[in-house]
Amino acid sequence: MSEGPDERIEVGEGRRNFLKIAVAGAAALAVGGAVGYYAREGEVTALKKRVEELAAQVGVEVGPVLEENLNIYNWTWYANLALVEQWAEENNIHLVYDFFEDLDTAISTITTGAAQYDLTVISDNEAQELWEGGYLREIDLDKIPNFKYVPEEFKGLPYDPDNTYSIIYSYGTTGIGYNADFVPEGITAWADLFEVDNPDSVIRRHAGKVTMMRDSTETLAAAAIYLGYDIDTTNESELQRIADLLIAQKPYLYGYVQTEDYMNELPVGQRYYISHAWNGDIAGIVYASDEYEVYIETYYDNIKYVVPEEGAVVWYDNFVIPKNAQNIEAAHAYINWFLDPVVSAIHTITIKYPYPAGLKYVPVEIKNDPMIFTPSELADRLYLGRALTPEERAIREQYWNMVMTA
Amino acid sequence: MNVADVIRRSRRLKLFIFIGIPMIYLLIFFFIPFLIALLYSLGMFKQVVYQYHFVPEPSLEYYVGLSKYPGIFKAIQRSFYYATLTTIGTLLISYPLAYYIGVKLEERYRDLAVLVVFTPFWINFLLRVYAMRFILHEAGMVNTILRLLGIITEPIRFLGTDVAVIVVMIYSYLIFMVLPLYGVLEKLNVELLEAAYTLGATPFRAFLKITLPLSIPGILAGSLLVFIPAVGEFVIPELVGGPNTTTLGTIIYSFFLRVRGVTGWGIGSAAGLIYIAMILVASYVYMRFVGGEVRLG
Repeated sequence: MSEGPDERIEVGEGRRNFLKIAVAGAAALAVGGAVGYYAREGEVTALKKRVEELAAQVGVEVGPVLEENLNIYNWTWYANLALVEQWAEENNIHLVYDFFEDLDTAISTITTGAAQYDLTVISDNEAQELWEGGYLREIDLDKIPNFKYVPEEFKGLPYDPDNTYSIIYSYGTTGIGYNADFVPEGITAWADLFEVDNPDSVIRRHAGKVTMMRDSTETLAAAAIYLGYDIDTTNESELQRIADLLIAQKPYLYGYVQTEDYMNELPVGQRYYISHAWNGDIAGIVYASDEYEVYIETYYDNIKYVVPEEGAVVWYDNFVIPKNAQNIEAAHAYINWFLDPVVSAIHTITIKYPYPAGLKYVPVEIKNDPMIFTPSELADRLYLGRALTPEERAIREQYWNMVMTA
Repeated sequence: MNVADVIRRSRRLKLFIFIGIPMIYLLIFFFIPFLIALLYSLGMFKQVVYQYHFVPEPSLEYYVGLSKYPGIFKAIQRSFYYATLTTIGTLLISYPLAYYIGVKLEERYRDLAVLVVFTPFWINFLLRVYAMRFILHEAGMVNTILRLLGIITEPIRFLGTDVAVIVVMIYSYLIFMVLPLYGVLEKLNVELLEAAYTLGATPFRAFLKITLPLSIPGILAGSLLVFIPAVGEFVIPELVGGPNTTTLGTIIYSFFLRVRGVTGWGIGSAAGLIYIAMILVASYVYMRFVGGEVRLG
């Protein structure tokens, strides 16, 4: 060992250095965290105030005081959290609001009972699958007087004709979003993304700048619509053609991406600027949006959304109450509060997804935006998925993995 | 009651505490779930989750189904490819690092050096992977630096490629290689090397004949700690990879979470068991090959 000048330093020194550094590190983290927290806290208070002002203008009813816990499980970016927090505070509810980023995770959380949620938001045929599997409770419509504000066309949807277990939360379509600065000629059809043999097609001219969704249901459905098949086809020769089409498209794609990725990238357009996307996400880019703030003005007018000519998937998200829910009263109270037209309207103004009960109070700019409220004349080219059996999903998943590993 | 009895009893108590309790823990959280997965894969459960219908007729249906699954062999091959490169990469980075910290560095700085290596791992794994997404992004740090240095004009695409997956995997698993190597090298008797030099060995020869053989247990332990979880890795390919980085882990995940139902759990369990079998074989071969007479249990 070296015989350096500091040889006399006792053995314990190393340990003390370790401690000093550890303490300094922890302190730095703590200070950084606290500063961030207070900055955010101030911001949140300011935003809350603005929402409160808006709410006061139209008068939000305060329901009965409930001293309960309420655990909500919802998509990210899907409700005005300031308003939700305010409701919880007024009703003396201890609120836990957890997020999921894909449906598969949400379903596994519910079916395995990994966490107890009192209320969650699940889309059409997945809700049916959960109900048939015995994972959901009936919803008591008597406890939800505001259900009357839900427009008739959103009551008794095909997967739940009597609203036994589900109540509409929001809805939308899956189409194509793009940045018009880079695609001045515009996009109108799935053919623009799938005609890879035509060197003059959009996909060929913008090779490498296009993304599809990293979601087997949606991307298989997009190809199926282009080929004129049922979106939930389990016919193997049709699935083979769908897979062939997607594999042929793959070299011209930037990749298969998720919501948060295209929401950040489309306005920039550096990596890619054409995306298979959900309407509300694109609306969330076009309009200045925040999970806490209320905006009406647009930010990125150059971002466009189109429901392709061949048609598109339509989906409905629903409130559902899981079987192992603990606070069923509070869950019903929350649904009832959410269906208040004013409350629904504020959520729509914030998030830019349509909450049907609030249509009346939504500013006209948003009400007339086809990107947010899907126009009814499109109805005949919108396709709603059906509930599949695990065997049917296994077949479809095979072909999806064939595309993924190709 | 005499003294011997008490000792005997307390010995049993000690054995129970130190061996029995961990065993019960493993039984509940590892062996029983393993058995359940085995039964699922053999099609001996007819309903998932809350209601179980036991069918005492094993069938290989799900294994056959899995073998016909398009892309499964490619995914397995890719999993092993990533894991192998990750193991080699972490070893190449960790060995010199552990060697210089454990052998060359003055003793009083060693704790500090290990701490510096360790600090990034205080941060949650997922956060680190997300951070790497920003670093490797086309507008991220790596591309920005390369552009400022004038090396590139167009950004290089890392995300979604094998390079990104391997770089992030090496980064994430580094610590599992450094620590066992450091543990072994720190205990290396330097007098052995001095003796070798006295007897005329070149430093390289001394390394080859003394340091390397003595550090084999560390290499072995580190490699297994990195390789085994790396084969099953699916979070990193999912977050920084793309459609061309589908691994076995991704496919198992998709069976359990997307296909679901008795079929999904059945094929998923079959894939999981095949994964375990392959790991066992690969680890055994590796230990025989590298370890020689070194035995791990």
